[in-house]
Amino acid sequence: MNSAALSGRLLLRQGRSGTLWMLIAGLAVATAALSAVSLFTDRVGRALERQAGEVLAADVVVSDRNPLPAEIAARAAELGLSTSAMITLSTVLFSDQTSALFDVKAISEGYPLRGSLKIADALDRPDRTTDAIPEPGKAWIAPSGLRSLDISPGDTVILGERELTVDKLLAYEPDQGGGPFMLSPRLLVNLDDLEGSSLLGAGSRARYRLLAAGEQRAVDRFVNRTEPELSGRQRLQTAGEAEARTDEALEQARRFLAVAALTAVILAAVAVLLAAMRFSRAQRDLIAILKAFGAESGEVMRAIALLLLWLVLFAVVIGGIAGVAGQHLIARILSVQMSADLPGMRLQPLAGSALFTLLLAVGFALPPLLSLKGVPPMRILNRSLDVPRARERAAWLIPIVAALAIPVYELGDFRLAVLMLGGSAVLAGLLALAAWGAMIATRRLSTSASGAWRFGLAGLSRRSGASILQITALGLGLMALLLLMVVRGELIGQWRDSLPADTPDHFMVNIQPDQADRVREQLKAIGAEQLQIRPMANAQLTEIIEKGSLKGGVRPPEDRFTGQVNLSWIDRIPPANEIVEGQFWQPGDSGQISLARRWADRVGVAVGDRMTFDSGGREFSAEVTSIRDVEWNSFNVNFFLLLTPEAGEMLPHQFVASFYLPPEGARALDQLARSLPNTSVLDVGALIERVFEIINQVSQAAQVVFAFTLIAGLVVLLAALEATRDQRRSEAALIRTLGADNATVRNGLLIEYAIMAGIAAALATLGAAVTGWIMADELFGFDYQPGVALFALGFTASALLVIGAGWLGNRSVLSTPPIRILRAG
Amino acid sequence: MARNVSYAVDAPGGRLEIVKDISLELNAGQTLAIVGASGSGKTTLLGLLAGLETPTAGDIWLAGRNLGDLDEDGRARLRRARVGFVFQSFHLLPSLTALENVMLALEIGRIDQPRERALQALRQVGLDHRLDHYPRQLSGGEQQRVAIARAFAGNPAILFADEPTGNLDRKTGDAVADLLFDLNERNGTALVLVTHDPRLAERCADVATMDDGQLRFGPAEDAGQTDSPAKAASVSRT
Repeated sequence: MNSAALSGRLLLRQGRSGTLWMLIAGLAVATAALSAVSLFTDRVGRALERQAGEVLAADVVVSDRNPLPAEIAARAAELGLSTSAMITLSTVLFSDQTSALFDVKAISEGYPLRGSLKIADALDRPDRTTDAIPEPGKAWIAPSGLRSLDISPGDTVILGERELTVDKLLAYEPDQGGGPFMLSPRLLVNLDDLEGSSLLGAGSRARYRLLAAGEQRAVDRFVNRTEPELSGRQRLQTAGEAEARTDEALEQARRFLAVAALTAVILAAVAVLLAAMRFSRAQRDLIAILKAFGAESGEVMRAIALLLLWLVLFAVVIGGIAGVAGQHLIARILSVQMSADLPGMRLQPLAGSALFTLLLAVGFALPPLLSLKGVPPMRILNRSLDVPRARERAAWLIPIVAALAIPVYELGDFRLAVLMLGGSAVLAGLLALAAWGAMIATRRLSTSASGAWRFGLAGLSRRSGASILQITALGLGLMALLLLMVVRGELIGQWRDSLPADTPDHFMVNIQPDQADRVREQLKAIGAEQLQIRPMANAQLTEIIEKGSLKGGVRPPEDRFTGQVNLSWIDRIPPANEIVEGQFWQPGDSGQISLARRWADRVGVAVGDRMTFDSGGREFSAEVTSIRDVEWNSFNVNFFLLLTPEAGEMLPHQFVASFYLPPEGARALDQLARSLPNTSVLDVGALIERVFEIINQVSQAAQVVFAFTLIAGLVVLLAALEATRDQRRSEAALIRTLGADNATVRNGLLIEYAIMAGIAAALATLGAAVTGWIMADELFGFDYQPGVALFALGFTASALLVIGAGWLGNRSVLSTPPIRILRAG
Repeated sequence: MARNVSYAVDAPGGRLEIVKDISLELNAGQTLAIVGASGSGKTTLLGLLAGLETPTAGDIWLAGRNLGDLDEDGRARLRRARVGFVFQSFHLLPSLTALENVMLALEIGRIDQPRERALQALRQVGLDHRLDHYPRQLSGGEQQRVAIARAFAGNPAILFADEPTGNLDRKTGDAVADLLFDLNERNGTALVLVTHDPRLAERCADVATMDDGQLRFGPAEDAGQTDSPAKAASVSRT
């Protein structure tokens, strides 16, 4: 008999055995989790690839917070490069109905220098490529912008002092920026319109860009000459760098999802190992018989390897289908937020998942199966002669190596893989320890129980190893889901509640000095509370002189925190600030500066150092006299650098207001903002809502992947139940033979599962609550109180889930006549 | 043929000799019963003679080949061509039907037309109406008849039977024994059987008793039998 025929026979004839299904299920869940992630990231990757070469809409871009010196554009032209100017700005737009925050991009003739724009005349019209840009007085809007402003193509929008007609829908722009998620919709306008909008005053949040493209040699020359001259916050980025950053972002996203998928894979590996061990144990008699009848070891091994290959193929098909469904779900959940359409799915990534599943099978299922090679034919006469050999024991090194290699392979990052494995191991260890403690308590209880309770409790402690494994695996899966489904929502809700009701939720920027008093009065008049209006200026940080040093301690600023900095001045310490070092000045003091700790640490400046600034050719310096802790969560206007008030006389500046506005004041604010077209109102509340919306969508997508983790946990449960099924069946048969009725056996089993489920759910709930508490404390700085939902929903749902799965796995314990079990020995 | 065969294992209390310096010879068509108390080493000896295990000392020849010269796969090849087995607990594969169980052994032995030969073998044991039944759907006697069909289907030169009637009631056991000896006679197969049943042992041409790892020719004393020089002559000490 050849190996193929033998493996086919084994497969067909053993197909009814639950163990083979467990093996397939374990492998399939791993395939599903991995393929869902790889299919989805492949689509995102290709969407980005489609933009390759045009991510900047140019070959090189120079940008600055201030208008760029004309020499840079002149040099580009001199070198034969084509150029285009661009200004981007986050600002509020008004329609007749409402207002909304937009990312405005103002462009000049020639844009884009690389790639093309795509526009449409209306929502239901097809896209078309265009070489044109919006004419002055016209604007192109992203489709989501129509909803935000409640307008249709042809309507007008107000941008600062300009009124623009929305005449096209913007379907695609090569340099989308902002990653896959955009906080606010895009409005594309002519450069002249933005320049005439009065929104570009000193201190505005605009970013000026010069785009250049041309022959590679000319581009290189331009880069080489321009880079050394860059100052302050000026930046130069080439298309290659931009692509590398995009690739890096995609890789990070892939790794995030891969970590989620790996939790499913690790649990699936445990299930595969358990199922393969049981399958291997169950096949020892068969192998002994085959060998006694003359089958050679090589044939048997080939048959087993082929059998495993069949199982992998089967699992890859099932898992692949589930993975395709999973990735559709992820893409659908995220499609609302994605700024670009994803290309269709392709099946190539499935090959990688299939290979990975094979690796998983070889790592975790092959060693127990390989041990069959050593089954002595003598076993058919005397089972006690069948003892594992040292070489077979050495085969257990394979799963250990596989367990280490798989995360490294999947994440492509050794450190991350070690962190992930270590983290999972610590978490699993804690859960296992807690489960072990719970088992000891249960064992104590079982001595005083009777009837079904004694049967159930005793069963649990008799199989304590398997029970601890089941509790740990399920606990991990449930915890991941509870964290995402319940704790995340509660954390966000409680963080919002932790902010005082009158926390500032609006900013008004770009207020000119002559408007400041009027704005203050009018904002108070429309009901603004917690109003603060603070001056703001830009200056160039040119020098830091360390305390007590002469020439040696002088150094120019080094990183992007320095150079062009925002400054403010005040005569007393502002709210939500706390001095941690030095002393804040008194009214009347001068020549001093106070730094936020985060900024001071980053730049390496300490109390006693002197800092020199340049503003429009006027130089001034101040001594650092205090370091502050700033509570950024307060949403007040806060600054890294605060000066004594005399600075106001030297610096051209504007004002920023922060305030809380009760909802009923929204319309009045809208009117006020329309009357001050040069200012911009930022609705922080709406922005936060938008951020939470994105967090919600992303975590829903992650839930899809973590659902595979829970399924993997259930497969571990079933595999472990399967592994102990024979034992349960003979125990049940025995006590039924001794006169116990079905109800006693059923209740006993139910009690056993319920306790196991209870412990797993309790540990998962507790683990999720503790993780939530740590996150709240570390990230948001408030005390998290787990809600009733976590305990009620989490506990009940998970307990029911586990009892159901356990019950399903052991129906045959009750349905098999005791005589058959006893006769089978 | 076995010459000075011993078998020992390492046990917690030191080295344990299970089979001690046994020699015997068995020719085609001969029948030999090995009797003895539980733990006396009968089954181990059977395994050694069938090449399922290798002796720690001495030589065994099976169908003219010295088993010591063969590796495990070589012994497997020899078994599939020349040896049949019948076990106390039948050892039918529960997931295969009666017909498939018989066919499997033929397929392993690479014997032509396995299906036809399996059908014929099952007909010979009177089970042609149970071909598609799984072992759990057969009585103990029927299962052992399937095992006998499986053992004889490949026409082995020698058949080893370990307590073939041990799990059966007397009547069924007798029927199975009849079948075993009938086929043995018809096919000219040598038969070595290990049994506790003196009536079954009596039906063999030769009887040898295992006692503490040593083989004494002649039936066990506790079975009320006496040595028989005539029988001992055909299974001779060499």
